[in-house]
Formats: sequence, C-alpha cells, structure tokens
Amino acid sequence: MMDNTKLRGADLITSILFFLLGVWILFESFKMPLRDSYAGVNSVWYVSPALMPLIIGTAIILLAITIFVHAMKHGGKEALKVLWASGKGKKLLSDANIRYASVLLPLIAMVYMNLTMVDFFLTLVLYLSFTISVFYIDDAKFMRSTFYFYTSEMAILLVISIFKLDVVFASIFIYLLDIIALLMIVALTIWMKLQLRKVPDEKVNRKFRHAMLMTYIAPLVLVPIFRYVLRIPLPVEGGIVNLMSLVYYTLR
Amino acid sequence: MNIVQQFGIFFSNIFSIISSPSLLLILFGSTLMGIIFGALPGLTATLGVALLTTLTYSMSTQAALVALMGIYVGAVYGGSYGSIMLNIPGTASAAATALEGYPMALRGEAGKALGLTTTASALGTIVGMTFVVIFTPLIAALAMQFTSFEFFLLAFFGILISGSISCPDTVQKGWITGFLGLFIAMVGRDQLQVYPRFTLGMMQLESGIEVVPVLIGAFGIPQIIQVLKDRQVTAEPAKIEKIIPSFGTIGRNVKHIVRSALIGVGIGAVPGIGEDIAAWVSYGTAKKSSKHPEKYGTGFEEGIIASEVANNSCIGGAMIPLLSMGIPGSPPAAMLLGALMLHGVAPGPMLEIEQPGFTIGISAILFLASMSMWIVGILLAKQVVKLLKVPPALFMPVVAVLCLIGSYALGLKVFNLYLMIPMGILTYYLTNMGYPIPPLVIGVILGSMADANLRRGLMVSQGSLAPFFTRPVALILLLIIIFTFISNTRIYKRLLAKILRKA
Amino acid sequence: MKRILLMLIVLVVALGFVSAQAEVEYPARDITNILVWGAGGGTDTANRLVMAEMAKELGVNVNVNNVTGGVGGSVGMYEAFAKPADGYTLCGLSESVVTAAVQGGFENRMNVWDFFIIGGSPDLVSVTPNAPYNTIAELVEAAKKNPKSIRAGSSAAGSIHHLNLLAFEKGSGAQFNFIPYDSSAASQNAAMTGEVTLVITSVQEQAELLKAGKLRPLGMLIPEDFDFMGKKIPSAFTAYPGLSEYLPLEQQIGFAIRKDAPEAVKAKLQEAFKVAMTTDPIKKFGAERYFTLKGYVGKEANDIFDKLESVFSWTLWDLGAAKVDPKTLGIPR
Repeated sequence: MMDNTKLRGADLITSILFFLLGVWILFESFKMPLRDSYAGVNSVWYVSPALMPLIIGTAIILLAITIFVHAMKHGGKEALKVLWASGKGKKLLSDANIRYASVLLPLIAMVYMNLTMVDFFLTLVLYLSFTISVFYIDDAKFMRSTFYFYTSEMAILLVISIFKLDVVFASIFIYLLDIIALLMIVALTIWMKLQLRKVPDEKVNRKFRHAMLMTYIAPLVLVPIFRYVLRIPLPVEGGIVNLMSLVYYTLR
Repeated sequence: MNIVQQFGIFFSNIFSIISSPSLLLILFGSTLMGIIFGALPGLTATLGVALLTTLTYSMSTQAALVALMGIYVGAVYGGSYGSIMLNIPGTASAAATALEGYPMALRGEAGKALGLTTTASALGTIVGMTFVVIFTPLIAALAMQFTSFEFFLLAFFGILISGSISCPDTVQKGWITGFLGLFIAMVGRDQLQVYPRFTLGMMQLESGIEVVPVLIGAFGIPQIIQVLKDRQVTAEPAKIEKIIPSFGTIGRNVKHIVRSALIGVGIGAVPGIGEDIAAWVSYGTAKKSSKHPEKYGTGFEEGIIASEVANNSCIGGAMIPLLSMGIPGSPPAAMLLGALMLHGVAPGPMLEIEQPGFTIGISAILFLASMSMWIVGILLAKQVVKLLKVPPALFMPVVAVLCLIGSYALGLKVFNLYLMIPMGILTYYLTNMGYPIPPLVIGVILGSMADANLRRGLMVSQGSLAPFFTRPVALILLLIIIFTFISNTRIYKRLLAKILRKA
Repeated sequence: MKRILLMLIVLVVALGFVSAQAEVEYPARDITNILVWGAGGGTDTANRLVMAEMAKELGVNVNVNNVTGGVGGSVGMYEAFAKPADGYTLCGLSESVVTAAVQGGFENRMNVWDFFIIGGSPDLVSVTPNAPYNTIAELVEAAKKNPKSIRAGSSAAGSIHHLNLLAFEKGSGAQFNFIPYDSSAASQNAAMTGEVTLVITSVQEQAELLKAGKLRPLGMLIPEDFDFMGKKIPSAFTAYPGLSEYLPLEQQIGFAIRKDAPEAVKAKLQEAFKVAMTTDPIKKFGAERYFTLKGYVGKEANDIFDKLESVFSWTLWDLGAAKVDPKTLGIPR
C-alpha cells in the first residue's frame, strides 16, 4: 500500500473515477425497461432489471463522495501535489518502468495475441524464456536490452496479426507461423546468451541454465497433462502440439 | 431402520472398500488428483467431478462413487495450498483461507498452516458426513423453507459480511469494492427477463462474467506483479516443524470447529450455493464473534479453521438435498447428480425406498475420502513446503502460465483470459491504494443471486415486503442481519463498553 | 548452446513430417464434443452416455467439454462452428439453441448443422399436492375465473418449458402469473417450498417428485396419454383440443456436426450413433429417465430443428424478446 502522504491524493483521483462509474451505471440503468413488460414477464418497478443496478449505482456515487470528502479533509490537495511531483521527475524509460513493463508486456502479448495465433507450446516457451530469465538473473542492463529485443519480436508478431498475415502464411505452409515463432525463440536465446557476458554476476551462466531448464520443463510437463490426461483442447494446436499428438497416438 | 442397523451398514461399507486393493487405489488416487486440481488456480471441484464422470463411466457404481467423492473432497481442500503458499487461492472456496494462511506462511509457518487446514478440512468433512447420516430429514425440511426471500437475505448477509473483512484503510473503501463486485455480477442477461445489461454489445458478455476469471485476476495477477516487479518476498522457507497440529490446538478451537461445521452444513444444504459462500460466511461470523477480531488478517489460526472446516463440511451438507430431494446443494453436487444418473441411481425422495442403505453408503465413502485426504495431505504438505526454497523468479512465471491454462480449461474460453488481465491490473492498483479485494470477489459470487431473488420474491408477493417478517426463516435471517449491522455502529460499541464497565 | 540449436533443427524437420502425414482413415484421433449447456444437466448426461457408447463403436475417445454462455448456448455453438469441419468436433446441444440466432448470438441459421437427435422427455403440467385442482379442467377454469392469480413456475423466459407454458395458455385460454427460474430444478424446488403452485417441466425432471407424491400430475402437453409407472397421466389435449394448434413442443436433446463435413465422416458417425442408441445402457437410461429415445439423423432430424427454429424464433419475436427479426434471417413463420 502507498504511504499516507500520497494515499489521500490518490483517493481523490480514484473517488472521482468511481463517481463517474456510478453515474454511467445510473445512465445505463435508465435505458432499461422500467415499467413495460419484457419477454413475457409482467413488469412493475420491482421486477425491472434496472432495480439492482440503480441501487448499486447510487451506492457507488454516495460512497465515492464520502471517500472524496474524507480525502479532502485529511490533506488530499497537498498529497495530490506530492504525488504529482513524484511522478513528474520520473523518466518514461526508467529502470523501474522497464521492470514493470517486463512483467506486463509479455503477459499481455501472450494473452491477447500469441494465444490465438501461435502453437500453444511455443506461446508458453516464448513467454517463459523471457520472463524467467530476466527476473531470475535480475540485472537492470540485461533486462533492458533483452526487453528491447523481445519487444521488437512482439512488434513483428503484432504486424502479422494486424494485417492478418497469419492466414496468408498458413496458406503457404500450415506451420509457417510456428516456425517463425520458433526462430524468434532461437534468436531470443542467442541474444540473451550474448548479453550474459556483460552481467557482472559470476553465477550468471548457471542461473541462465536453470532458467532455460525451467522454461522448457514446465511446458513439457503441463501441455501433455492438460491435453492428454485432462483432455482439454488447447487454444491453438499448431506444429508442436500436433507433433506431441502424433507421438501420443502412435504410442497408445 | 434403527441406529444399530445403520452402523452395521456403515461399517460393512467401509470394510468392503478398505479390503479391496483396487478400491483403495482409486480412493487415494482420486483424492490426490482432487488436491492437485484444487491447488491449481482455476481448476475447480466441479471440473474435476465432470472429468471423472466420463472416466468412471465403465466402473461399478461403488468404484465410481469412491472416485467422485474422493476428487470432490480433495479439490475443496486442495484450494488452500495456493492460498497459503502463494496468496493465490486455487478455488473460490479457499479465498478466505488466504487472508490468514498467507500471513502465516510469511512468518515461516507454512507447514503449520497446511497441517491446520488439512486437519480442519478432514474434521469438517467428517462432521458434514455425520449430519448426512443423522439429520437428513430435518435439514432437508429446513432447506425447503428457502424461498426467494430467504435466498435474497442470505446473499445480503454474505455481502454485509464482506464489509467486516479487515480493511487496510477507511471502511468505505471496503464497501465500494463490494458494490463494484455486485456491479460486475450485473453484467449480462438478467435471470428473470433475459434483458442484456451492461454488455456493451459483446456477445461473450451476454452470459455474464464468471467467478473464476475474476478470482484469478483479482488474486493471481496482482501477486505475480508484486513478486516480480516489487521484489516482494514470497513465503519464508519453513523451519523444520511439526505438520500435524497438536491436540491442544484442536481442543482450544472445538467451539470454532463446531460452529463452522454447522454453518458449512447449513449453507451446503441450501440448494444452489456452495463451498465458496460457506467459507466466507463462516470466516465472517468467526471474526464477528471472536474475542480477538483484531488478530484476523495477521495469520490467526481461528480464521483458517473457520473457513476450512466450513468449506469441507459443506460437501456433506450439499449431499442432503441431493439425496433426499434430487436437488443438488452446490455446483459440484450438480455434476455429481448427473454422474449418479449415468450409473442408474436416481437420487430423490424415493432413493431410500428403492435402494435402502445408499445414503449410509455415501457417508461411509465420505468418511473414507476425508481419511485419505488427511493422510495424503499430511504427506504432501511436508514436500510442498520444500518448494518454497525455489527462488520466486523461477516459479512465478510458471504460476502465471498455470493461472492462464487453469482459467482457460474451465470453459475453454479465451475471452475469460481477456477479462482476467485487466481485472488483475485494476486490482493491483486498487490494492495499492488501500482498497480491499475480498469484498469484490464476494460481490461477484453473490450479486446475481441477490438480484434475481429479490425481484422474484417481490414478484411472488406482488410488491409486498411482508414476507420478510412473516416467514420464520426470513425473520431469523433478518434479525441476524440487523444485529450484525447494529453491532458495527459506534453507538452499540460505546453502549457495550458502558455495560461492561458497570458489570 | 549447440545442443539447443540442434534440438530446434530437429523440431523444424519434425514439423514438416507432421504436416506431411496424410490423413488416415477417420477417426484417427480423439473426438471433442463441445457441449453448450452446463455439466450435470439433462443434455450433458444424455450426451456423455451416448458419447461413451459411440466411443466403443468408433474406437477412439469422445471427450465432452462444457462451453456454456451467451444466449441459447451461442458461445459453445460459435466455438464448435469455428473448428474445422473434419468430424473431430461435435456440438452437444438441445432444442433451445435454435433461439441463438434471433437473440443475436449466432449469425447463421440452424441449417448449417446436421443434427443427431437422442431424444427428449415430454412436458407436463403439475401442481403441488395441497393445491385444490385435481384435473386440468379444474385448474384452467380457476385460472379463467381469476386471471393471473395462480403462480406458474418454469425455467427462464424463452426456454422450452416457458414456451410450453405460453402455448398452454394460448390453447386453453387460461392466464397464469409466470415466475421465471434459472433452471427447471429451481422451479420445481420453488413448487416444493410453495412459492409457485404450478410447474411445467419435463417428465424426466419431475419423475422423482411424482413418484414420491410431492407433485400431482394434471396433464401431458403431448397428444397422447402417458404411462407413468402403471399410472395414466391424461393428455391435456383431451380436455382442450385447441392445444393441438400450438403444441406439442418437445425437448430434443442431441448433438450436431457441421453440415460441410465430408459425407463419409457423417456416415461413419451416423452408423456409430445408431448402434449406440440400441445398446442396453442407453435403453435402460431412456426407460429410467422417461426419455423418448428417437435416434433421428440426417433429414429427419434437420426437419425437426427447422420447425423448432421457426416456432421459437417467432414466439420470441412476438414477445419482444428477440433482437434480430426472424424475417431478416429468412426463418419462415
């Protein structure tokens, strides 16, 4: 939690946001059928689907106001200034921000892009090889350069996804995109390996080896368990998953 | 059937299972599988039972029942592993456990916490089972008193309790996140008139927002961000300590165990609501009635016992309406009903006439499942605690992946994952600004129940509020709610202090 | 480092190998049944049972996955429809999915599917044992005398049971106070607690309560009388012949495959399905659960769904609960 000097300032902002949410809820609720019957159910005010949202919207507005008033009484304005000042001095690409982005960007890229485009196994490896390595080795410079490299790889995938090139690729060779992802993993691994030399920590090579081990072992265990034991169809069953299936059905 | 005969059937059932090596193997295997299911974020008891339904199709009815009850009991208990070790509850029913279990693990008492939940869960299951045997007709009759008004009051009580869960900053912040949760529950088609609310024109939102993506988003993602970004330490690797709690610990908490078990059985018996609500209501009640409410949220054993006893005793409770009326008491019990039908067993009022001794058979299996859960749990806890020695940066990304596939596996919906990430980032910031998250989750769980039942109740009474006062169970619930409300106010506390001083 | 590279090269080669694998005879791998309703329900139970029997015939596993949500099971249907039409994805469904299109959840009509109908259980009107109505006529007359005074429970608006209730009202001229519940089980539960007097659900769902005398059956909503454990439940059509204009509307539980799947695949599935329907466990299930086993495939099954689509879509449109005009979808009235 934030310390108290900044917290009241933040409260001012969140309470305004909550207030706006409450207003929006009320606005939407009034568009709902209030009195007329709908779908064969005779309607009176107490049956209306708007009943509960109206209560919720009102409550959120009232509570937002009390939080706002409480924050104003307890030095909210000054705290807001402190908050503003502390935020102003920071650079966009500060170490702290890169660290935060290193948590979120791979996660977001995985969920919103790779998961529905690239083979599931490769999606996981792409995520894990970056995230485990940079946080386990935990060196600001290493993290920064690897982050830039990873982001540019994701940018390529983004272009592919925006222009729907994956469909074009699939028509050339069904697993072409999977091969591109595979090459990206190789490139990322080589890049990280090269960057390792610049890290002062002497145990770094061993750490990297552990990170790589975890990167491959986790999906190698998880994917077959979910696919063949729990029998859950995966979002994209591309080259690698189908390769596993081939092995599985031959053995069975 | 008299008591002696019932005992006879009970023990002959137990004996027939433990004397068969294959049944024993199924018992232990399915409990272990259940624990793993529960521990993995997103995978729930319902999914586990659904999965085994298909797998046990070709087995005998008894073997299938052993497997199904084993995975059910194991999964409800297994949720506590994630809560204690990572602060990411494996299932919604273990979310209350995280409030006490994780602080304990931070103190290096992960082993103790796991031992406590294991024993509490086993005790809870056994108490629940006892109720199935003795009080089925009585509790079934009571559960039949639950009309829309009572459902609404119960939901309202649960929401009220969310306000009393420890709030790091002002109380209003707890309330507002509770209402935010209720709002999230409003999204989708309403249950009465199928009118789409707040769907923003998205087809996937029509059926509403499910609890699992909210739960994993609200607990899992912020924890991952915190550990990786803020280098927050995870639980201390435990010192060598005893896992099995002493008799003293159990003895000291007999009162809490009994009360929590009663709450669990009661809520389990009410059709349609399950382990998650039982755990929260029990936790909230324990805190309200405790001599040391200030210790809650800091790793207090009472709190763990309250939530873990209740969620496991709920299983027995859920069996009561299932076996006596053919109405499932909780979501996994609904799946169990389907599984029973596949085996040609039709639970309902005629069950005891058509298949005498079936209820006793179930309770015998429940008893054995809780024993095997305890044994597996204690053995497992020792090994699991060792995992804490692995550096967090190595396993947290894997946990992230687990959260992802777990939530995906539940409904095979990528859309749920799309919801999970923004939910996680939102709650990360809310937590940072002193807004508590548990009320939000409770709001999401109870929201549609409160909404549909309030309106349905008013529809039945044609707008009259009289049933709140004329229906006995409703009146009792209402009085409990009013008392809870009053006891929160300052006037009451001052009055109480005055009276105590005089006395 | 070199080892990793080598491994990756091997993988790439293997990928080529996988894609070069010619398709062997269907079915070569497990089949997935995406079921649009929740685990444990009637559609789920029947599908799991039939799938287990079909698996024996086909020689591969058929996995049932519940993908719920949307309107009229649209999310699961959408999901199943998005999968390739190779016969490895089926869609477990029931009659109510025909409403998905008019409710704006599915952009296609039902004619994109080929249906397999397992069967269904007919609907009936029952009242609580302490209600003063002993025949369907007494109930209807009481409702006519005092319109909307009798509370009737059934599952959510737009469901098969709600449509049966509406048709019953239209055909008999009675008017009830309709209280919707989220499931048939919940509406029957409400009858147990006395919240509603009358329920319309299927025989299967009411069976245990009827046996125990916790519900009193008044009339079947099908043209024939029904033999329930040696006791005759009269058809409501006998007292109110006008019902035949709107009824019967029967539950149809089954599954579907994309219509553009190869004919050979469909034939193989139909064959396995027909064999499965004759096995003892299914027959036993049908008898125990008061299921009329149909086993329809191909045109026969598709025609039934065509008719249901028309009835459901237009009823919802007339109620004002549909988003999309059935006319624009080309659904005949």
